Amino acid sequence: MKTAFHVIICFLFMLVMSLFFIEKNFYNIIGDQDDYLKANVYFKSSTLASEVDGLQQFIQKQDQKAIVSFVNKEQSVDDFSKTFAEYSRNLVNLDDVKDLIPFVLEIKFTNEQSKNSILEKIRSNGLVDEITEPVQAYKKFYSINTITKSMLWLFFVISFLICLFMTMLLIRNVIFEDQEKIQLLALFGKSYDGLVYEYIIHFAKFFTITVLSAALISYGLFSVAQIKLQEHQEFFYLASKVKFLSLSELFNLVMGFAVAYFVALYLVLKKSIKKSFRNL
Amino acid sequence: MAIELNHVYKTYHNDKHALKNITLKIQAGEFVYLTGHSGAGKSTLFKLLSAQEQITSGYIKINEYDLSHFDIRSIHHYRKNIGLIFQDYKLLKDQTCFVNISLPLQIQNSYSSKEINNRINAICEKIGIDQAHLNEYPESLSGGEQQKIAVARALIHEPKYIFADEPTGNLDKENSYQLVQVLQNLCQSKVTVLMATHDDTVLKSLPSRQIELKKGEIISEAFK
Repeated sequence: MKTAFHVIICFLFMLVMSLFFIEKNFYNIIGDQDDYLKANVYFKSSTLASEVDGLQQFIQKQDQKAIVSFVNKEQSVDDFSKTFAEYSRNLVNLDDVKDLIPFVLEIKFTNEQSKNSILEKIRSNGLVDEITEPVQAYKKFYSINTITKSMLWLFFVISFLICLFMTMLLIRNVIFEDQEKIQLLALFGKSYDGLVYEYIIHFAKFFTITVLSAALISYGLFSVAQIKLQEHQEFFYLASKVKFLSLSELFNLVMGFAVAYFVALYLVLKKSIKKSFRNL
Repeated sequence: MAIELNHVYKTYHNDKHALKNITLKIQAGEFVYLTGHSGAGKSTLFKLLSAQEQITSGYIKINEYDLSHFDIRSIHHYRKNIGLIFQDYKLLKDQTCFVNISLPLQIQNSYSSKEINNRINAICEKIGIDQAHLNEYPESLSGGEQQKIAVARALIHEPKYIFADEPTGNLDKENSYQLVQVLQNLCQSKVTVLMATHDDTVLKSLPSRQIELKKGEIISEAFK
């Protein structure tokens, strides 16, 4: 029973992690629909880095909350190589081609008004070669995007709660199976608080082992899948875009689950052991 | 007074009195037999004395402990002073006999493994348990041997009170006699023993104070 318990909880936690992973990578793959507030400003090839810096400061003065990032030529070449893989290899080796790659400013505006007014001012700047911004159609998908985001979070929360609920049910079952032992220990002088404490320690060990196993198995499966996908040219881009949970994300997820787990565990143990004590 | 019950009533949900107006006093170091047919209330009385159930009315005092109303958070202080022997042994099936016997000592958490070993050796010799059984699981032993393990567990922590429910039920005459003698000898060191039994041979060969219950009431009390 206890082995089955480990396997079920491990699987459920992997499911929770998978949903978190899907939620994270969903935008990596299809792109964030909030992108309609973004714009890329491409400079003429003769522009100097210091001139781009001047324009960056000008934008920041107009809208202090806008996120303006400068993409230099090396980064552009790097992005270009990653995106087009083998096709780009011969091209970027030519210095002439490299020189043609412009400096770019990536801007994320805080709202549409700010975007329109700043872009209008930039367009008249002589250094600017071209400004690209997502098509207006993007905007129409904004509400769909919000729903998708909410749905993903909802699925994540539901699976998290199901995982927690199932864990507590299994814990209750373990206590029920141990009822005879608990009653005997109680009759020979084991204290109620002592028993609750002992079970908390036991389930804390169980939690650590299960969550660690789930994280390691998930990472292992992800790595294998990524390697396999990268072997195929058509999936290379997808495989390189998908990222496993970062350490901080994993830590937050485990801590969130740990807090909910230990609160629920304490309540379930208190109730179940009290019941065993009363049914001696 | 070691054990004092005063007008104790125990009523279950069906309004049936399991015990009616039980008034009883037992001195420290006394050995008392509790007799009566099935359903007389012996097991209910044991449950009240071991704080497994609360009384409906009256009061029970065992030395400084008032069992009339107890709290599950503090009752372990009292239970550490009692030794219980059950009719159905109540041994942990997934633990060896050694672990079963040492259970009360492990709960008290104040004994070294050397002390536990010494105590187990001494109690096995006293009760007549073959040391070879200590590493076996209870289910591999006969009913009589399991009962001896249960008795050893009840005595290992040297309790002040022993409540034994039919401890000789699965033992032959010789072993029954030996066990009751062990329990009676404990009374010399001020241990109070209350033992439920049907065994006439034991009652006749090792006489002591007898309390007879019928339908939840004490119907006779005598030294036989």
